[in-house]
Amino acid sequence: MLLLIIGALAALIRLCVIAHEPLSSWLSGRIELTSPITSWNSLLEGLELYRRGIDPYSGDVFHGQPLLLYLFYNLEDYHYLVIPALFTIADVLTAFVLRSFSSNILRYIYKRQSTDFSNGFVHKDSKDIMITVNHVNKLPDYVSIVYLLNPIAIATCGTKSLLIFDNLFVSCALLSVSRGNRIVSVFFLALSTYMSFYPIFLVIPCIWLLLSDSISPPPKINIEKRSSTFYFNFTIAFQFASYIIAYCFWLAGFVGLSYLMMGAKYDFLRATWGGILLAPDLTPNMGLFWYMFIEMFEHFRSFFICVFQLHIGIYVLPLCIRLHDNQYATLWLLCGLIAVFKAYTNLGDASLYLSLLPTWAYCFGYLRQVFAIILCALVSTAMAPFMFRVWLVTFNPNFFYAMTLLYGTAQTFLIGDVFFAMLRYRYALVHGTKVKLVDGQPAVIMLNKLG
Amino acid sequence: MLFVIEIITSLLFISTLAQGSSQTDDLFTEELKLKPLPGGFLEAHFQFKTRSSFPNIAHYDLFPLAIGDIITQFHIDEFQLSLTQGYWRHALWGYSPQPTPPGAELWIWFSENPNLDIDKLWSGLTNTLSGIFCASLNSIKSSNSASPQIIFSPRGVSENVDRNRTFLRYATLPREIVCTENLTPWKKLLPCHSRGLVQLLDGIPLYSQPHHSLSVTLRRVCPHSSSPRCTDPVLELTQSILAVFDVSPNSIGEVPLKWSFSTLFKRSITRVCSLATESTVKFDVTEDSDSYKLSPKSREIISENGRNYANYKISEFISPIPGKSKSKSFTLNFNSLSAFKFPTSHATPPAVTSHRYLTGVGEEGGGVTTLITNNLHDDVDLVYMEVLPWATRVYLHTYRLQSSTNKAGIRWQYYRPGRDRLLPYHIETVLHIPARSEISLSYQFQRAHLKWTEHVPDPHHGIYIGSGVISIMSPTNHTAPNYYVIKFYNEALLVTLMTPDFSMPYNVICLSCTIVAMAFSALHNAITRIFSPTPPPSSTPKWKIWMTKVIDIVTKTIEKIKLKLGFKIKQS
Repeated sequence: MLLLIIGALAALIRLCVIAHEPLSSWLSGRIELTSPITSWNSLLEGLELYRRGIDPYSGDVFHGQPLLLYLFYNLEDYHYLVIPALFTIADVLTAFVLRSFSSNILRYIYKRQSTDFSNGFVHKDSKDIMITVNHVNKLPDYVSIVYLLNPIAIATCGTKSLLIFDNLFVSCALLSVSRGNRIVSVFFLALSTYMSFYPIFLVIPCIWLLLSDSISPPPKINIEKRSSTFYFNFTIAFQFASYIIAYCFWLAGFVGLSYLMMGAKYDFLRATWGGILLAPDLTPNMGLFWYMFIEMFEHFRSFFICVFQLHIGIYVLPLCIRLHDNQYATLWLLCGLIAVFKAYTNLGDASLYLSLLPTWAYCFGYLRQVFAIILCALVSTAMAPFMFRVWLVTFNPNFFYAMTLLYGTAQTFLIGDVFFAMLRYRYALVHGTKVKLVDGQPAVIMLNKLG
Repeated sequence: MLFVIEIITSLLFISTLAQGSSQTDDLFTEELKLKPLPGGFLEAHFQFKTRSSFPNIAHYDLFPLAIGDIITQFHIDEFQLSLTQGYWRHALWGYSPQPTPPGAELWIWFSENPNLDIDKLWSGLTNTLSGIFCASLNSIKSSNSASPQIIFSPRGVSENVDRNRTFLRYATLPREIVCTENLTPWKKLLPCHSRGLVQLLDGIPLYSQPHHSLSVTLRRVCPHSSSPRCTDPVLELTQSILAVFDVSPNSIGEVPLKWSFSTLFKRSITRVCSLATESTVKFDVTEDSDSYKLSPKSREIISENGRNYANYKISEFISPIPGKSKSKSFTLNFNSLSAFKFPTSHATPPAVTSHRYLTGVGEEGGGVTTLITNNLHDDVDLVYMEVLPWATRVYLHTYRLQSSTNKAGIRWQYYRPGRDRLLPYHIETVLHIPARSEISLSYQFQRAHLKWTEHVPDPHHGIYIGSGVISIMSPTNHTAPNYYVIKFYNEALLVTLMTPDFSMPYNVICLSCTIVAMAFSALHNAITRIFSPTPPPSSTPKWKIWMTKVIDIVTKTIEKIKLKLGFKIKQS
């Protein structure tokens, strides 16, 4: 009940921010909140060119997909509050979708921990650190409250950034995967890949989750030994291939629709996916790409583009294998890595995975770098606008660049630390919270042996 | 002896000249028009016209060989190149007799032949012209060239009136600086290098004036037949210099204004160019001709295009053969009498004026606003073209026209969006402005961030947006057969871009890759290692452990030495 009231309040705040013209256009000019790919002004430019019969992708201002163009082209004629209402509803819906997703995650972990406990795999000392029903009921509410009342999410909604739809489609994909809904999940995965290219890295963990009923080892096997027991046969391979084919079918469907809409020309791919992958636009944002490629030697440009874009991809399989029994954690970690290392990052990209952070609250006792993370995050977010102003005055972008580096550091520390905490928690579940060495001294648990 | 040689050489000159003019259409004329302008300025317009037969240029004694080669090699129909320093203030001085924007401007009509690769010809031609005129025209690339759709119609005779616009190329370099290295090769194209009006063109006094412009125009004319269909066109090359001298008095109250060729140009004309059929100096005496005195006194007043000129034929004042009795040099002297006043601009303002400026605060974006004022008592239709560099990305959805009446409007608009590093933004609009009213056109743009190698030298100065071109199709009757086209330019704008730190490439690569490496190392560590219990770190600090080790080694060594030297070790 309280959640619904907070949801309505958050919707009202967002609607007020979008509809209030001076505030909305001031926010749209903020470099930390908008990027060339997601900016509302570039969508308006694309609409104007489309209306005049000029190919919207012949210029370099518009990078959105044709179906978005079609949607807003038809929505423009109605009441002036329709489009703000659309953005507000999308944002508030994302909050509730994330709440359901996090609730499904916690229920799954609770169920698995109960079965492990009843089979005797949990150490007797670790009963205190196990998930309780309180966690399962309370934490999803915190997830949605964080997303609804996050000032950065409100500001991103106020700029009418197209990121709102990216976040909505990714969270719908995650929710449908957690419910085991196969057709819907593949649809939303293909849609979110079509909109911004990076959710393609989420495909493998999602399919793993959908197949997990078939491939997860039975509960009678010790937690530690589960990594070596995969059940692999042709049925699973066939199912895997069918999911991949369904995904490619939907993706080809979206691309084909856009192709037909643009008069049977593939030019839009150069501007949309090419604009994301090759990062030609060097407008500053909170990411790492822009200054790197402003100052890049021409000889190495294509090499570094490939390295930076493939960098996220190298984490997919290792994380899947390491967190084989908790693929939701893989999805969360990959969402975080995409938010940090994608080509045109904003502060709004982080709001998706940060709002899911309360889901992992059960392992926060093992976080090591909390102070550093909070400090870096606060300083970088607060100082970034001022440092951008300093750039305008002193012609030196290094101040703003330092803030973007600090922001990347904060997020990197957070992702790495939560990953460490998850693994340490699992070790504590199995071996207990007080481990003693052979000679009776209390031991320190460190990452030592190469596994 | 010398005298005989001079007579023979001059007779040879005259004979070749006579032969030249009677055989073909080869012709060379030069004239200088002087006109006082409002605000205390004097306009000096030099025009050197050379005509040659077409299509095969038979002789290169008058027509320059360099230009003739270019015409045949690059299949040129018409072209104009201009190098200008300073802005022609059309609101104050009226329309320019040779309208040019500040900087360099080049437009070319190529022959309409579908087999030609116009892009290749354009880049080859810009490089060749930059070599001929010592100007950096080779920085004209596809990223600052456009093909105007309505403006820059052919100025001469051509086969068909409505030509395919892909054969027209236009580019402007507002940043180009004009200096005496451009004047010298320009002078070399003239048939008379050091005789006639060219003697007045000295770089230093000419190039310290508020406005000076140098141009080369080529077109085809039909001097013989007056019918619309031209059967034998003739190539006409016009080289012109337009300079505006500031002749206002240096101090208040200094009313007797005097200037002469020696104060303006620091030179005078001492020789006659015998290759010229006409070599004249004209002074505009239409207004207030009795408030000043010109010396030498003019022998005739002629009337041209509604204005009266005092006409001085140079050959009447200087003998073609030096050493004869006529005066050794020709200098025009101007002395004002007490009633002299400079003409005022408010008496007859020009038909249409325009003013352009930048708007916006801060550097993330900005806007351009153009004001166009129609001073006539009739409605006017005009064409306005702007070509913006790709680094200022135009938001067409912010394009607005505001006017006090609602009869003003955009009749037609052509917009070609630019591509980063490939194409500029090209906006061409046909506007209808009612009588005696003003419109304002405004739009916003976004500033792009350039790679560190793409910035021009002195990047903090900024980049220039080239002047907008306004062309009035017919200010008078639309249906009149002899309509004329007035073309003028408004201001070029300077836009500062946000510059990166040019000393930082290695640092940036290291720092950005450090963040990537930090993420990679944290995740790699957690992925490839597993937890295991380890002994807790000892509580003694490291230096104590090291000290005990060192003391241990030292004592052991001392004991060994003692043993060797025969001391007995005390057994405890």
